[in-house]
Amino acid sequence: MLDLECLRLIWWVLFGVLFIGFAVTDGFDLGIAALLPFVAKNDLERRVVLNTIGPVWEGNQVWIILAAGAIFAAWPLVYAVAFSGLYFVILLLLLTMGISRPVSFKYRSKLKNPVWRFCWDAAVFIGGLVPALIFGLLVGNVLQGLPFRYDEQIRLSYEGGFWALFNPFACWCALTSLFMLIMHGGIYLALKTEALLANRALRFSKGAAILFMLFFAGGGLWAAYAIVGYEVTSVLSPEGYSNPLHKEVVKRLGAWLLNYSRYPFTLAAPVLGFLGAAAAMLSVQGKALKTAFLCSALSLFGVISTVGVSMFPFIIPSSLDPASSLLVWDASSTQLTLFLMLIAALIFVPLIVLYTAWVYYVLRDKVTAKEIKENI
Amino acid sequence: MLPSDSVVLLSRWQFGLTALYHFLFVPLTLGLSNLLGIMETVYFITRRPIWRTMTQYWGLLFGINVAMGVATGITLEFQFGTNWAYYSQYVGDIFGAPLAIEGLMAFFLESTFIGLFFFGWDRLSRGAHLIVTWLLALGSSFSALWILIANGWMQHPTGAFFNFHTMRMELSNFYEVIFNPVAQAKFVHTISAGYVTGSMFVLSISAYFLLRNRNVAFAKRSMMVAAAFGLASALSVVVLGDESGYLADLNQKMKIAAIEGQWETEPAPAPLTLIGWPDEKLHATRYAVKVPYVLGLIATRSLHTPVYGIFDLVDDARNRIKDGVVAYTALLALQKNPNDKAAEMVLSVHQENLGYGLLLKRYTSDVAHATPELIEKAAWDTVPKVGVLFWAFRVMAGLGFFFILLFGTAYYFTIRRGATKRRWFLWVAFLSLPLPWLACEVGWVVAEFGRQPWVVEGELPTFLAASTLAVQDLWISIGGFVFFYSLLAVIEIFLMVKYIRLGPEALFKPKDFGLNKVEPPLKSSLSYY
Amino acid sequence: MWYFAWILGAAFACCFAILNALLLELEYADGEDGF
Ligand code: HDD
Ligand code: HEM
Ligand code: HEM
Repeated sequence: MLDLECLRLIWWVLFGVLFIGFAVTDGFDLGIAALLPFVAKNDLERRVVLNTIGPVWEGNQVWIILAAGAIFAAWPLVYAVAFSGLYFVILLLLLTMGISRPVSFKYRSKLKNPVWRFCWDAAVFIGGLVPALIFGLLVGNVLQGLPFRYDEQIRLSYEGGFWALFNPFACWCALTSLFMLIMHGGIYLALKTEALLANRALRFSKGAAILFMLFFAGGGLWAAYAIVGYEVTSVLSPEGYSNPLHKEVVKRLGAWLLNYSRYPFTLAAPVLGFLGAAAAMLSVQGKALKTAFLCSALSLFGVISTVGVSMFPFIIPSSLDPASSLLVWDASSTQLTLFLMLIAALIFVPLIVLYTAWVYYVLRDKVTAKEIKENI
Repeated sequence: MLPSDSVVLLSRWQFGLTALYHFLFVPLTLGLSNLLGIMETVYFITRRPIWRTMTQYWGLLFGINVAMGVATGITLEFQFGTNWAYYSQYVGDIFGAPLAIEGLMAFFLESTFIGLFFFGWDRLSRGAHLIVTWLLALGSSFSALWILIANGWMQHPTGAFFNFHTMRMELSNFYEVIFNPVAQAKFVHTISAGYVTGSMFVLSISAYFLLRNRNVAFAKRSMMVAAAFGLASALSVVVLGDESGYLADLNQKMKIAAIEGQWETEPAPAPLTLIGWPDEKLHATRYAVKVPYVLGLIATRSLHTPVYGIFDLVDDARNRIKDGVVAYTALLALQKNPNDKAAEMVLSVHQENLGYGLLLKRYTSDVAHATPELIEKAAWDTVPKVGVLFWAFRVMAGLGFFFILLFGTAYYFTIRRGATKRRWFLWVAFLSLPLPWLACEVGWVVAEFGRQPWVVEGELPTFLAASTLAVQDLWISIGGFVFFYSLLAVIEIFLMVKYIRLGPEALFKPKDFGLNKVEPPLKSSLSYY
Repeated sequence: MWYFAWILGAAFACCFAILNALLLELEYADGEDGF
């Protein structure tokens, strides 16, 4: 069996892999849903757009379900703090993405009534827009620390309100994430549709890409020079018990830059975030849409890694009582659980990638208006 | 800070309501996905288009149902964190793993192939599509498997121990968690209940078509499949229900005693209380009609083992609480000084009753000095609501026998090819439609309500497990769930009824009902969004 | 080993249903329309 330090590190990486998997797959259908009212002008076009993601969004969404399950299993303390502390944001995410989205896809075209269809289209749109914003909002708040603390029996209490989450920095991050997913979704939509729709989608994608790069740069500077970061000041044992009360932590401006100066190669992450987006736009210009999709996926990879690298070894810092912060080293499951889960992941993730790829291959054709018309 | 009593109560209501709501859609998914596999297999073998049409029509109804199953399942998964934060932290090391594996092994399979099931008809060969359908069914079975391993562990927590350094339970043996006998019996009982539900759905709706004299060829074939599959499943539900009862007696004696409304220990061989009126104030079950020997046989599989009554079990709980106080006192010492070897010894000896000590936390923060009155109160807390369990169980078991009868009759009539002529039978079959759902819901009430006051049997009391939220937060979230879920329930029932009343003849062309080996080109509008 | 029982039982129930359905189809081929 691998040692605990190693397993914790691996699971921290896998944590990132799950979110990247989610952003790259479900990210495009959230982006497309958020674009729905803007790119599609009539019912036929809306049906074309919905059918580009129709067969795959459900599988994509499992990434986030799996991410939640994996956090539960690998980082139970993180799961408990994030979900109970951010109660209403999580419920909002649940309502828009988990509850109304699955139903709206399936039920929308079951009746011809325009009011019925309008309502479900609105649900699809909200189900794309709101989650795309919420993911950024969560990241923005976690970077600033959440107001929780533990008592000596490790019983959690959370002392923050709902509205405090909508602070300027978090809102900035929310917009960043929205633009990023619209860029990504627009490219996928263009890949799957024909001329008119595809061109519209690309226009939005390009605009979003530029905004995204601006916001990402701005957010980076903001986090580096105006957001108070966290730093562990006591000696840590990466093999220690998962008890978050045995360390000292200070808040310090600029602490989120420490890892970059300590390990300069990590600068690759933010650079990739930019270059990916820029390369995606160049490829769009050159009509190389598949390359563009790949580049935009790399950009998402870069952005998520940037967040991870900046915060390491913190997972959720506590703004109320920094010593209660959750670290990679003191918030995990036991060695046995992490090891068994790793084996499960090693068996199933390749299988999942394999059959998902097969499904995309089977459904590789473009969705055309003609095809939809024939099937009404 | 502990959550207040009203927060605990509301959290329980919220979880119970959303879980029961989820389980309205789950059993139909479990059953119908297998029936789709069966129908498509027959299509594959006979090449008769009508069987493909059957798969597509029942598949359409399946799709309407699955959307709701997903929309309610995610809620449950998130709720462990949002509303049961202390629970998640306390047992996440063990409980999280099956949930995560469920995602890896089941949800991905199911959700990836469901897209292909609908959109793949004209893109895949017959064989490939058949495999997709079976993978879909397999995915839903795996999902039931892992979630019930998780739930089985809560009923019978094996393979884990309490670690005072981290103040939580940790995994010691994963094999025991997976092959937990309670989880096994639960899985097979619950999945069979799902098969019964799916079969009943197809049986009843086919009966409806036959009563109206519509789609006769279609309805007859559907009924044949449902009757045969349903009969096998109904038998298995009852056999495994008995197994669940037997296993519950090994580790949850209190649950059995409450189900039986049995206050005094019955000397072996214990009689079974068929019916009666449990009176929780008097601590007695009045008007009991008893059948000698039967309970002893069911619950203990022997004629010589007594079945314990509630009074004796409360006595036992009282002793365990006293012992738990010792364990808890040692735990406090260890929190002050983790190197206190003497306290560690004491804790390891009395650890199995630590959970009982925690029961006192409801009444006092100073568990170490709890008075005998408080201990008495806590001991009586271990008794679940006897009346609810007593009746819920009888409804479920009664329905179990009724289903055997119904599917037996259905099978007999269909193989004798006489079902269409017996309108009374068609009416009975049609009217029985809601009954499997009723049985499933009360089944969960027995299992989950009977576990109270524990969230993890004998280890963690429910009132400790809830998140520390404000009462108004819970009112808002419960209100939101009730509002949106009621809205969706109305919409889903409306769509189901609409598509059932339209029937296959309105959705397919006449040649799709063909019985010759020609294959009409397939462009099904039903797949598209 | 109830898991094992499930595998056998489910396989049995499915085959049982499929065989009954095929029987119905055979009869149809013989010119009778079942029931
Ligand atoms: C994996 C665990 C798990 C699973 C598979 C289920 N439950 Fe459960 N159930 C819980 C874990 C749990 C819980 C978290 O432990 C609750 C919340 C509070 C409690 O006491 O137990 C609970 C409570 C709870 C209650 C309220 C009991 C009470 O408040 O006294 C009901 C009625 C149900 N559940 C019903 C169900 C249904 C219909 C399920 C099927 C989908 C189900 N449970 C699956
Ligand atoms: C309380 C514990 C439970 C949790 C947390 C939970 C979680 C979930 C989640 C997240 C989904 C959506 C998956 C997707 O997107 O495909 C789901 C669906 C499903 N769940 Fe549950 N579930 C619970 C209880 C159960 C039980 C006890 C069973 C079976 C016996 C079950 C069977 C299913 C099935 C078959 C689906 C597929 C979708 C459908 O039902 O239509 N679940 N569940
Ligand atoms: C004679 C027939 C039956 C008997 C003896 C029986 C017995 C039981 C018992 C003892 C439990 C509780 C298990 C526990 O506490 O952990 C249970 C649970 C349950 N039953 Fe039944 N049952 C019968 C019929 C049915 C039928 C017909 C259905 C549905 C179609 C059903 C659905 C359920 C469900 C969904 C549960 C909860 C899951 C579980 O704990 O396994 N049961 N049953």
